[in-house]
Amino acid sequence: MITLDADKLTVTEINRSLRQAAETGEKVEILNPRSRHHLGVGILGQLDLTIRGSAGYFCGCLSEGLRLRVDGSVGWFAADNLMAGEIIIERNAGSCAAPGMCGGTLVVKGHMGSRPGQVMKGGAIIVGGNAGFMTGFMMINGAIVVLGDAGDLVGHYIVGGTIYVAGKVESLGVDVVEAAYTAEDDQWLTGLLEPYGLAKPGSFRKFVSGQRHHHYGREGVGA
Amino acid sequence: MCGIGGVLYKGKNGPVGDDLRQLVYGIRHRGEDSSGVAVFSAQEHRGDGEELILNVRVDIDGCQSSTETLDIMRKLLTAAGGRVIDAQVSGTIMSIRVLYGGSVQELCYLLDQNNVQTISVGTQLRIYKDLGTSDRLDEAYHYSGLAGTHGIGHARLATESVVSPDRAHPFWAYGFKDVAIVHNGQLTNYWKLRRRFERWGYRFRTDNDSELIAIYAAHYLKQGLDLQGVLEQSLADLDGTYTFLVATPTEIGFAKDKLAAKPLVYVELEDRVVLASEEISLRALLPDEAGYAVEEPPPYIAGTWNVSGGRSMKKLTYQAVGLE
Repeated sequence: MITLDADKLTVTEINRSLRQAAETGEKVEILNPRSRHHLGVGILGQLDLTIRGSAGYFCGCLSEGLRLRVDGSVGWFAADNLMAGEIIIERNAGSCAAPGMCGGTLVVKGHMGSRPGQVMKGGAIIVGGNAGFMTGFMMINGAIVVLGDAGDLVGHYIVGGTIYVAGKVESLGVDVVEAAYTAEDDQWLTGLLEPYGLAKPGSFRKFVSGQRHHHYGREGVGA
Repeated sequence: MCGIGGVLYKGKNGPVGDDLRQLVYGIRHRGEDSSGVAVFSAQEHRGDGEELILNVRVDIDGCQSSTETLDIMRKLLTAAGGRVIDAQVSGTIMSIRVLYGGSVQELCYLLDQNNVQTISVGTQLRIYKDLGTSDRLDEAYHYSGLAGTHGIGHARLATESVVSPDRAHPFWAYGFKDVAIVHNGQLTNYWKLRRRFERWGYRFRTDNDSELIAIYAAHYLKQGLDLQGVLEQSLADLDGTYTFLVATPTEIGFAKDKLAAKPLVYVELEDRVVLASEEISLRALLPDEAGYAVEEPPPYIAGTWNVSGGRSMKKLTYQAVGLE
């Protein structure tokens, strides 16, 4: 286990050490993060990382294969463009979490700010608490699972993918429709939530794209 | 991008100047063009008229020397039945204490005609602002020693007007007492609203959109709205993307527009509330995170904290304005 004290290192030094550790396969923990930005960015390869405290903006972004646990909260743009791996936030995440995420899993055990999963293209976001305004704004693929409530304009201009909400939905966005929650959905969610120790609520509402504004496929050719 | 911050002590005085120095230093990566603070400190009443503090710019290009400025002040105040108590220069800002019972707006406009650049006027408010980061600002102005009930601070990355000391934040509501704002964002209906306020007789000191927020708030406060009401109304009147703080002698309030692309977090402690653009700025002031929770308000919301400890917050509903 490598221990990095963020009070004594620059962010560049920390991320350089993390990339080296990703090559050797050694586990890393970061102490005294004090909400600093850009921790665990650009990690390509298997890395087991724990941040002891809260991190700032862009935590764990531009990574592929990172396995990150943050003991506290994270700021805006966590897991930005995540390609693969698993990021677990024990407390809250700020706004715009996982924009453009392509794969992997982001688990936020507390609440999330505005626009989680904006233009996400794959992977899954799990929110233990509430998700903020415009959850899944323009999302293209993947899944967002909200165990608490969701704020205004859920799925605004959603193109593809699925949003599951267990609690109250404040309002729906443009071009999002409610679909039937099936036994397959339930089974898939059971498997998805189980490893994180999150109790699966009894039922969910499921939202998908109405495909009126944006959709993929050739013009004039049937789906 | 800009960084904003604020601190309000509940029912007591605190080291507001030093808190703001740390908060604004913690947010300097959001803008290093200029920085500034507005500190509110309750003054003791002297009994023989109202004591005002005027912070004015001196000794730089386009402004007069401190001696010339003080001469003008003395001349104008004597004619208006007031007087200068004392004056103190730090950096390029002169703080002048005066006794004056007349119209603050008239005095401000008169000073402008005499080429005196006012930065803040009030019974409690003092603004210090200049180019550079908050630590450099403190070296020049020594504001970190100021105690008070509350204050707001700002780190600027210029987008809507050029970089200059008078376009640094906080903006004071030109012509009013004791209203100051800091703003992160852009107003898209600035000129439309500015022309409306000019028709109503108000003048503007700069071409910066944020100054409008200060005059907007002060105008409606004078009309009798409370700060919370002004902030809720501003969400409909101000177009653009913004998060801003407004400070009055008793309150700090915030408004976040309906898309909320500009951040704000706050932490409510037993003795004070601290607001900042980012958590990293809170950590500069409160390095240990145990024992308190950081809150991020949703979009389309206004909130207010009072120095007596009261708080109100209201989230508006999207249906009311028809987002589609």
